[in-house]
Amino acid sequence: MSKKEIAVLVAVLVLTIASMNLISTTKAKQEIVFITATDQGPDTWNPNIKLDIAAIEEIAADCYSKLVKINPGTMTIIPDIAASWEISPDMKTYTFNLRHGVKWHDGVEFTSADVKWTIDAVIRDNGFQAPSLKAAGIINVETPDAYTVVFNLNRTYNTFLWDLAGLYSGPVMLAKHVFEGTDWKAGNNSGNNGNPIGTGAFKYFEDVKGDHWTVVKNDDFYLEGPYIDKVTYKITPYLPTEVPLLKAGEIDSTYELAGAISDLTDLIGQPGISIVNYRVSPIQIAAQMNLRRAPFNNTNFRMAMAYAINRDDISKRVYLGGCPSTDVYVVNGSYYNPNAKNPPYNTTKAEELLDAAGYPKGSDGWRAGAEFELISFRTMGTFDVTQVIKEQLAKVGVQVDVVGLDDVTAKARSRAGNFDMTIQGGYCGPHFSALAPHVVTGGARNFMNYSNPEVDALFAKASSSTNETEIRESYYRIQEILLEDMPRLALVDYRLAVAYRADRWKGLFFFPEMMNKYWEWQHFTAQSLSVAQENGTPLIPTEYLIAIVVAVVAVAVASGLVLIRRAHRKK
Amino acid sequence: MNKRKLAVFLGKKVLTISIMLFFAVFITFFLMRVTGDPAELIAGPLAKEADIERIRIEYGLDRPIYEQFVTYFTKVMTGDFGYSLKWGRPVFQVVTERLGTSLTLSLSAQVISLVFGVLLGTYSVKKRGKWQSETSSIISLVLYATPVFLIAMILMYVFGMYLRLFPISGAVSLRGDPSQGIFYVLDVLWHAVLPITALSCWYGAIFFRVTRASVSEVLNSNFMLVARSKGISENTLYFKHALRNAILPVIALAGLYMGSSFVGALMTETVFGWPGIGRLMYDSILARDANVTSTILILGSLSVIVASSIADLIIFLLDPRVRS
Repeated sequence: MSKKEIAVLVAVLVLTIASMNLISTTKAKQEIVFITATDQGPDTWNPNIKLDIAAIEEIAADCYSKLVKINPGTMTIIPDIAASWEISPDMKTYTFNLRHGVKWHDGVEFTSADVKWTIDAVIRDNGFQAPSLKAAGIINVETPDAYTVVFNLNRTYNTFLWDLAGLYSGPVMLAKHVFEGTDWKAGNNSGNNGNPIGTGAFKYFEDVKGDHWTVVKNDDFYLEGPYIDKVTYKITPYLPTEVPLLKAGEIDSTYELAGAISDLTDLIGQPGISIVNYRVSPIQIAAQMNLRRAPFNNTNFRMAMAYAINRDDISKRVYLGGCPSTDVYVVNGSYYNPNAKNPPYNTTKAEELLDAAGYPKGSDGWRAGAEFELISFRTMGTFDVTQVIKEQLAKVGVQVDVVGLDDVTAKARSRAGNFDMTIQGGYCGPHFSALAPHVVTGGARNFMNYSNPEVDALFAKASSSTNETEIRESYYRIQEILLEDMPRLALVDYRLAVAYRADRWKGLFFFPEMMNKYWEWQHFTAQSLSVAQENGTPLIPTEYLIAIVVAVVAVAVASGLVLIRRAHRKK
Repeated sequence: MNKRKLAVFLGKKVLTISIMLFFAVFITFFLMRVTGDPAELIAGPLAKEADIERIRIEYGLDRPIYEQFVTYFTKVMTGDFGYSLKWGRPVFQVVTERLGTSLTLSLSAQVISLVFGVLLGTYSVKKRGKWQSETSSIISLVLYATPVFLIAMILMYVFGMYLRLFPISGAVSLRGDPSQGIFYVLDVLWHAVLPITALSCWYGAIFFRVTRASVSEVLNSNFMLVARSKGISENTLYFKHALRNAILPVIALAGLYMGSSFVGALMTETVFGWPGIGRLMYDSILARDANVTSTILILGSLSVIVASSIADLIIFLLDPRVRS
């Protein structure tokens, strides 16, 4: 092949690549699109049906509303679709005053009837949030007018607002006019539940299974904003690909990176990229010990673990300090008892306790009978935590076998009690009552099989009391008991590490009220709007595009003809 | 060609396919039971006892084992693979909606790697002893020895991240309105360049090496000596006469790999976020969705069996020695 022919072919190749590039980018109009990575797509667009992480954490906050929600910055309850509320002195009646003029995404007005229908349906049909609603003891829901909802409870329940606002305990409001008379839980995995109508800042746009889903701006949103036209969640189940995607500009924000520290360090100092640590929800990383198995059925051994595990070291080495170590039982220190905080790091004390527990050090430096298996997920940095703990416990002569499991297996083994110690991240806060599922007898997250009737009674007493002193004393006493029994050791206050394109977006994450999750786009400021608009891609008229494509094809055909002709001549 | 021989050949092939498919279904059925309670497997590790019992009755898992197999086999033959635990829709629907995406990637890579692998392999033999042959041989060895996902990551970093010539993830552009018509096709092709290249590198290396070995083997054949003595050009000698006689092993191999295209390229699709069946398999395994995983296994087995059979038929039609 001659040099001329090679040059022609190279030119054809370059033109083809360039035209594809141009063709793809010119379809982008001047709209503000934020693309964020996520690790899984939704099975359903209805967060009230089942445990679906994408639906409950992302779609719920984007497309739906709750009566109230939590400001993770201040860890307080703030209004959502309910503008205000009153609580009766006996805390058995909660009256919510709904916002006026709120519309569903199909234009129908939102009223108290929707609230009543939603709560009744979730309880009646065992929706995902049914356990928390049933635990509240709701007798009925009254709607005296279109904008007032009254919850009548059968007991004093002072954490009802926290339940309604909770990420996993509070139902989103569903449209009565869409679901009444239907089996609202059936066909929930169609990808859009047939008709994903909400009242949130964004509306359903598309859901391309396995690839991405998109929501678009709701122009009738009842709060300020949103300022972004479209938010796309790009599913990237393989974490190491998020970093190149971010660097290449294909996404504007990663998902969480706390579990991939090597990726985090790779991004530090990168031009145009910023990393922030945010508390999205009250999650703690904690070590849970299986009280049914030796050596964890020994109190001295458990206490020894508390002294031997260096939480500051875990915070620095695993999370680069982004997730601070914690001494408290509940994130944000709700009802924190300063006299019952977790033991400090002290290997001397740990070794004394291990000796007292009946596990003396052998001549090889190891404590026979004290070895155990430590399991974890492979997300949220928990696997890295197990590696650090293994090193720390080796210093006091305890041999640890570390096993990192996928989420499903880790959960299954935890629930089945098939573990010695497990490192898990779980919601624990912001209110102290959130600790209950972790430590009450038969609690949903009490994998340790811990049972103390006094703790159970104190939680029940505290949740049904209207006396703040009585509540505080109950929660204080619980912490003292847990310190004595040590079934669970809180390690760090988990915060998401997120990297984003700071050269394109300003005002991201830097606003005072972050509701439920950091990506509530409606709070972007006008400053971020102008910066984003500067990054809009230029348009090329369609006729030029067609001309380019025709030119490329013509050159390719001509080259082919030349080559064929040459081949014939040689024959 | 003797039509009777062809009919006999086809008849044998159909019988073989049927038997192999039967065993593929049987093995899948057996695997689902040997690892534990299939009802628990289908329901998932987080299911409640009531759900497990409901599934046991719904799938006939409370019946004798032979009845269960007959039911399972009958359902598979009628395309009823049950419901997906994760996606809550018929498994057949979940799998087939990704089929086009997977085949776009895998088949394109197969065809490209086959063409280039065969041509370069033959060219390498033609230039034996020279630097072109040695270089191409070394490159093919390196590519064959390198895991596909590593090739994919390298391409991603170089051409996607640093040079920004091609997108790194997904099948379509996400910024702007969704493309339509020819623009959609071009957009998908642009996204497919890197994953296809990654796959083509690996498959191409295999086809290169097999072709090279096969062509080298026929070089000293009598017909090649006669052809050379007649003064036929070198290109015609290698690319027509030698290749034609050496192509049979390549066809057999291509049949196997074409068949496996159905299940997609798990590693490549995962690295590039390509929403194909390979990704589906990955997601299903993580989600413990036994119905989807077993369906992909069965359909994948079927496609390999059928594609290999087609390859055998092509060889039968091309090679008179096989016909006789």
